[in-house]
Amino acid sequence: MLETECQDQVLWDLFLSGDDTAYSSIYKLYVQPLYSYGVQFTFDSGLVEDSIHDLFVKLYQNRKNLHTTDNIKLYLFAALKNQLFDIFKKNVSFSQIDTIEPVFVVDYTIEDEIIKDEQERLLIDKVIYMLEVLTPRQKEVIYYRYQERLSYDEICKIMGMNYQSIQNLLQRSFKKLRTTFSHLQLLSVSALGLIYYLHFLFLCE
Amino acid sequence: MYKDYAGYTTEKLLEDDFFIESIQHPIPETELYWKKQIESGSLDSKEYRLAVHFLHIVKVKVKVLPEDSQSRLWEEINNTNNKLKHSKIRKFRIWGISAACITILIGLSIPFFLSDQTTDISIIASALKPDYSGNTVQLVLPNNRQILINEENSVIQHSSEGIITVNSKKIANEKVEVSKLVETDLEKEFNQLIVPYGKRSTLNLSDGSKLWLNAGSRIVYPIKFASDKREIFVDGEAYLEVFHDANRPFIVKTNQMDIKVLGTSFNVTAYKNDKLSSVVLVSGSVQIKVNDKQNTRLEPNKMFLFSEGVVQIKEVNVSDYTLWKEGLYSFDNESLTTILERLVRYYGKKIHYTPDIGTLKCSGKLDMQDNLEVVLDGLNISKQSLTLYNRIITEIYSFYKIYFHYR
Repeated sequence: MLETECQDQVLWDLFLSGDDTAYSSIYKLYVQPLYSYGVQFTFDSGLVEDSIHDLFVKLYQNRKNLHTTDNIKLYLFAALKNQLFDIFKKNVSFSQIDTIEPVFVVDYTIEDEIIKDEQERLLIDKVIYMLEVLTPRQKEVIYYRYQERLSYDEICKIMGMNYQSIQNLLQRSFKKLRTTFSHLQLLSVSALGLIYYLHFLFLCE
Repeated sequence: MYKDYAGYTTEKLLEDDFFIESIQHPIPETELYWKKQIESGSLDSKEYRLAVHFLHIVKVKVKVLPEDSQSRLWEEINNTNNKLKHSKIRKFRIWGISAACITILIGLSIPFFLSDQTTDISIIASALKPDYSGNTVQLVLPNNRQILINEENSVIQHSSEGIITVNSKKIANEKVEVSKLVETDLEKEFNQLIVPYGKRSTLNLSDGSKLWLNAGSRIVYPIKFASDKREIFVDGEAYLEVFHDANRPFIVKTNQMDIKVLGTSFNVTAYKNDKLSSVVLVSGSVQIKVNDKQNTRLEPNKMFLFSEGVVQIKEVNVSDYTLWKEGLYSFDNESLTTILERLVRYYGKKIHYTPDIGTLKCSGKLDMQDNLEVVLDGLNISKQSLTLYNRIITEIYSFYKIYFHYR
């Protein structure tokens, strides 16, 4: 892990010093992860692309004043999140009464599940229910922890919350997991394996 | 080698990196390991299964940005960076308006890709995203100094010497204000006047031209006009009396139209959020270009309408469209929805009405110096006289109500 930190630092410092190749490398490395992350906040793909555009222009124009970092991914993710929130705030027209904030609107793979029989139907319904009762914040923490595999420290930074609050969000999600599936007979491990194999198929489209 | 997972609950498993890795990226060794843990009885099978279940449930569909889109996006980023390098727009000016930071970038990126002929004023205008939510008229000077005006009606005067007065009170001296700026090219420095809902403003420019701005409008104009043209940007509704200057055509740019005049009086309606834009010519002549295509010459007492790609020219009674600056609203066979929406803008208050009555057509004149209640009362009367002519709605009419509440 120390190696990637070193690499990040070097690449980032190169970029800050005005190296255009470093700038372009950073883009190539992170445009896809940034996009995949950005679309968790909004269904508007164009908006995410615009945000990435604005982010990279801002980085370039401001590079003399930016802080150094040894974790480019986290830096960019946090910057993109701020960018999206700012755009949402600005786009609220004066005639709207409610404020609109981007919320985590994840598409889970389970939605592509093909229902084979009643038992599976029951299982899937429970899953969908559980996902629905998770709050956007909980979904966001889960995303960082299990999809992006960020450390607790990184999650605290990007969500602007302390360790205890992050833990609370996770524990509450686990509780929802337990209550949703408390009465359901979970299928045997091998049967589970079959269903989830199908998930992998959908993932690689 | 590996940890002992005896007695682990679902929650503890889900906090364990090795467990998460094993399930997300299974290899034969780890699969065997977990199988042994369960078979030996030290790890509860139900707890394990529930944890595995959770990991699979929260798996997210990965959305990919295709290669060609990535390249295109990169090109756009480079273009913007290059334009920013070469353009005369000072960097400090862009980052100085911190609240509008992001939107300025958006404003800059889009025009660059649409047309290279977009002049600086449209870029500046789309970059300066106004805040209409306040209750005050705002005059924003180039150095970012904001002058707030509380009065419902205001007159802003720019003298030829550069003195700015608001309602006859001297507010600023442009020469003093701009001396604080680094950029000394006054033609590239812009003021912005923002008129929110419920307010109106009159602007007297240094060349002698007069503008009346209706509610919910804004205008961006340079401190000093160029030597070959006088260019401003309008979003909303304005009535202009342009001072005749054969050497410097006056150009009004809106979201979609460019209106060129020499010296003349006309009304322009171009609210950014409305589909319909229009120009009504009182006297003189104007030339209108829409989205850089097709020049149309407009004659007095004619109205130029542009909506969703379609251009229409029709003869109108110009006072219907220009009396608003006197505080009068005159309409002929206008739908009630249009009338009420105009009142909403003018008074800055919300009006609720059942959608069915929106299509009713009304004719008449309203004096908007009155309170909104009086005006709406007047509408009720004029509508009732309408029902005499419209037998279909006479009976149902009594059930329709207009009520309003204050924001």
